[in-house]
Amino acid sequence: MTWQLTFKVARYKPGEPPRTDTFQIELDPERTILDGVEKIWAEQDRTLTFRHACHHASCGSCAIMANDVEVLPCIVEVNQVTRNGGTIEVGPLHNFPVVSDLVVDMGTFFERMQQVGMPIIGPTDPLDNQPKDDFHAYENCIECGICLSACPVVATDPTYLGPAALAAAYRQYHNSDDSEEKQRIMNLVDRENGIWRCHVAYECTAACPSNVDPAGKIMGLRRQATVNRVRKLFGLKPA
Amino acid sequence: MNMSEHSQKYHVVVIGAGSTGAAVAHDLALRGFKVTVLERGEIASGTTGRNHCLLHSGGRYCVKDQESAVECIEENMILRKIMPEAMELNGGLFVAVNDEDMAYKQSFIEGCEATGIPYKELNASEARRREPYLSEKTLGAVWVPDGVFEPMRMCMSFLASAKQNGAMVRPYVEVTGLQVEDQRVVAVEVWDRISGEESVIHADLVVNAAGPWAGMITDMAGVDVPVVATPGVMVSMTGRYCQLVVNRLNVSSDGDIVVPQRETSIIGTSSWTVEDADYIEMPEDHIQMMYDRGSEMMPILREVEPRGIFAVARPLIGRIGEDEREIARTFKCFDHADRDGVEGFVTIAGGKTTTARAMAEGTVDVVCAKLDLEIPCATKETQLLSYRAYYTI
Amino acid sequence: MAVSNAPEGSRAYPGQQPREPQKRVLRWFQPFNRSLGTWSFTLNRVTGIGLVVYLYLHLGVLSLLLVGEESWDTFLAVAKSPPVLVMDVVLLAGLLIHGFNGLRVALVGSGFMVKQQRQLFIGMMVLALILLVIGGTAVFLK
Ligand SMILES: Cc1cc2nc3c(=O)[nH]c(=O)nc-3n(C[C@H](O)[C@H](O)[C@H](O)COP(=O)(O)OP(=O)(O)OC[C@H]3O[C@@H](n4cnc5c(N)ncnc54)[C@H](O)[C@@H]3O)c2cc1C
Ligand code: HEM
Ligand code: SF4
Repeated sequence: MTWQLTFKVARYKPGEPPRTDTFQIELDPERTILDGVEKIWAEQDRTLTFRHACHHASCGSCAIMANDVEVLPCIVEVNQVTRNGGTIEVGPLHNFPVVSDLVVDMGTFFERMQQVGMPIIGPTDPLDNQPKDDFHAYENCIECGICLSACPVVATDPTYLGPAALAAAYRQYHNSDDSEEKQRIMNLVDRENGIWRCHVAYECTAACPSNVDPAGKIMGLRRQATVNRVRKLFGLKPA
Repeated sequence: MNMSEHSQKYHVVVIGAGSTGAAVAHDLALRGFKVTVLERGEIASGTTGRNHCLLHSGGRYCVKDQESAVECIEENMILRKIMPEAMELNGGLFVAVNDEDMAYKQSFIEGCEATGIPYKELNASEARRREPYLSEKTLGAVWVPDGVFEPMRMCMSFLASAKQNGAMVRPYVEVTGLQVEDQRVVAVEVWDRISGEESVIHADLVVNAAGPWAGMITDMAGVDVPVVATPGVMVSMTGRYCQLVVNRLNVSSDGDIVVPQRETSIIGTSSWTVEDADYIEMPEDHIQMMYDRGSEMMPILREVEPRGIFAVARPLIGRIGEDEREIARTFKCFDHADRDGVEGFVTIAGGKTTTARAMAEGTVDVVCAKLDLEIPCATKETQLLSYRAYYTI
Repeated sequence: MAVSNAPEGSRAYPGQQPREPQKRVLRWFQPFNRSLGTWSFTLNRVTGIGLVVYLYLHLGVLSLLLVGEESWDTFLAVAKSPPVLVMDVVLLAGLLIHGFNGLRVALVGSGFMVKQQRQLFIGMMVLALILLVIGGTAVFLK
């Protein structure tokens, strides 16, 4: 069975005003929004540009807006967002520079992730009979940028470090047992455009497709920062 | 002898930024060449990004295709040292769930011995203690050093290092033609899919690493390579139900591997051939087969929801019509001067993401030989940059 | 013939000049389509701004006292008219929503009840609603 679908795609090419293109495609309702976009590229418009790699929510590169909410289009089946004969609107993520069509530039985002320096592979609890250094697992954050697109603060303050980097900072702070590294992380986040810029809207946590709970982690860092300051007041070392 | 001042004179264009092109670019840049990578989509948007993410130990090939198995275990041991960031070194189990599997165990272990794959036998209760979701029918298992990688981050890591050494990486630039003069490829015609501009890029040598699309590139030079686009289906299930990679202890077949990645378990894969790999229609029965076969090893997989279903084509070397699984997975580097009398043009195809570094080494050796340079490969010992550096260099 | 290496620009997309995102102040006032969190964010902003506006209004009205007794009396008469009483209830609503939500922001923002922040918001709003009903009745009964 296939459905008749209309895709409204936000288009942008350098030097041209943004526009919306409409495409009609036939798609199995169990295929994903990303399958639809790829099909349009393959069969109708070779100028359409979009980011994608793994198609199973692990690489984080395909994040876009679909019907006005952030999604990983690789894991959203078209039947979850529309019906036979329906329309799906797709566009680039908010709050990122747009390179072309659905492609956004993640440069600044990755720069901040790199600054924080949380390894994407972290140590996990070893299985009972498994040597510890042999067992590491990927962190949940797939660096998709969805949380930054959803955040009302990032929408008006591009210098805000943003939920993903702050959530990574939380992990890095708690994974590290080196007090210098902990201090480096605190210096990075305990400032105006760091943890204190957040207005507790929790949109990042609601939008994150990978259960990172960035907002909760920002609050955790705030608590830590406060505790450290109070301890300092009494001449104690940071916890 | 430092020959890089000689290699600097040469501009090598690499077509494709999958694992093969990315590794080739890194090797070329490390040996001092001036490198431009042209990729029509995003990094790893072809086969590489969408593969099964298994850092092969070689176990899968150790009985029927020992050449591949040796390649895998060697590269596995190298990659885990030079690119620890892009892989989960969790190990893998080959699991027997019936008598036929158990009967295969002996030849499997002999294969491991013959190809140098470290292994450890586990009895059924040990195996199920490690992996509680394994079938109650489990009769035994063998541990091997499988791993799980993130293909896109692997490519970015190779490319970050290549950029560090001066390479230029251009996504969304599609090769539309090759200019051939006097039986020599001298330039590539490109179309920038972002700006719409068409231009011509001079090249002293072109490396075609376009994966299952390699044949379209060779067509542009009027030559031919026997690369067959052979897709496979994978289903990523919601929830991580194994910590180690779970393989079926038997002759390679469909749906016989479960790769855990983050909070998912990916079942794969199958095999058929297509003419055009741009958009692959997935056969429903292949998807169903993943649930059926995967749940033979881990019954829970029948009860949970899928998260992502996808397919992508292998660039296998062979001809359409041959039994796809029988085509050796080992890669091949075609020097079109020897094959077809066209100079300045090399195609690298086949292989696996696990063996990308070795494929690159072989290819750049060929490039050096063609240009009469003797520069040793250093990728085995060179620590790669973080994938994040791809965006910051 | 074009040169082989494109000029500098974006680091990941050499030669391209990405379009910088515009600041989207309107996003503060668009809770539709989003989760409960943006409702709290928007409500807090709207009521906060509303309260500031009221503060100035209030100061302006108080300055009538400087004008003289007569104008103050006319003002009191207007202040007791039903439309203005309704506005008083709106003000009370704003104060309660902003105050209780502010309590939540302050609590969660300092790391307390982080796990229950959603329930906390709902609880605070229920509390605000109850007090609003009590307060509203009081305003009209007086
Ligand atoms: C189903 C499946 C599962 C697999 N699982 C594993 C696994 O678990 N482990 C493993 O090690 N290997 C696995 N493999 C094998 C591995 O994925 C491939 O061998 C490898 O990715 C091939 O990489 P490549 O760079 O040669 O091709 P690709 O990744 O396809 O790269 C070629 C690139 O060239 C680009 N291109 C094409 N035409 C043009 C043009 N005209 N101009 C510019 N660019 C162009 C494409 O966009 C593409 O990005 C799997 C393969 C399949 C199909
Ligand atoms: C009743 C007690 C009050 C409490 C507990 C309170 C609490 C808060 C808190 C915690 C914030 C920060 C919200 C955030 O981080 O997003 C805030 C913002 C604000 N408050 Fe209050 N407040 C109170 C009364 C008032 C009053 C009386 C006014 C007006 C005169 C006011 C005006 C504002 C404004 C304008 C903002 C900024 C809006 C924003 O950032 O969204 N508040 N308040
Ligand atoms: S925290 Fe979640 S939404 Fe943000 S980048 Fe990471 S995975 Fe994406």
